Amino acid sequence: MIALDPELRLTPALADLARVYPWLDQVAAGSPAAVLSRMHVALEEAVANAALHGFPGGSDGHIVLRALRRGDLMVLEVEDDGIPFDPTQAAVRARASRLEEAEPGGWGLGLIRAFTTSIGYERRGGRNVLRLGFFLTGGAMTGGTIA
Amino acid sequence: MPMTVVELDNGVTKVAISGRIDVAGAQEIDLPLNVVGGSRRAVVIDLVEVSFMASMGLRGLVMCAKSIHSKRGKVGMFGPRAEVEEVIRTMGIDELIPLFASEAEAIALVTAV
Repeated sequence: MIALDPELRLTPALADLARVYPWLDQVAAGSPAAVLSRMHVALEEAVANAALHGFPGGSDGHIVLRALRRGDLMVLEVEDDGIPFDPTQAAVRARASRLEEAEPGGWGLGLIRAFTTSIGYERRGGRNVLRLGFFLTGGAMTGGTIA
Repeated sequence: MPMTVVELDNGVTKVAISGRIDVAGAQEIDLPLNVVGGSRRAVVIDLVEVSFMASMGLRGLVMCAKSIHSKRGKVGMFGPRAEVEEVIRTMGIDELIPLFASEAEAIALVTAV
């Protein structure tokens, strides 16, 4: 795959999350609007998850975002040195059909799964590496895993 | 503040949310949404000016709606742009809080006896 410049290095501080949106607009420029909006949502959820839950001891951590491209496939990679967490194995709560039964939680993960074409995770060198795949030509919203 | 509260006729409260409701945006509207949820019984949520919605924003809307519902009140939302509507429908939030195209439809829901 071809890496698209630049990569983005963040701290888990809330203020730093605001840099994700303009970065994605830059590296994914020219993508179909419907796919780009799904990329924004899935990436926001993945980075927020890492920042809010990955560093329970404080904000002394790093999150690195990379964009990779092969043909019609765009992969957004989220690497962090927080505590191990594999979103591909986490349970997604069953959907509530009544307000009384609705318990917020796990919706970020649900959006990541729904809006990506493929999703892959590995623990690499003490870091979480999450890869979110998107077909730029649209098509099926859910699919397999990235090896 | 990405949220304003307007009292309409017929005892209806309109909550207008705007801008990016990401983690930071959701934190800004959580408290005022709680206040509305705890004190109003007929609420319409105006999503016309919302440019981005993430799960933390959905959480705030549902918590507010749960609170209104627990007092036998009614709540509806209306007017999201296509990207925001996709997020809402994908997570089935429209099954919990009725979603309409127009403000008039949402008001009709919350004022129906």
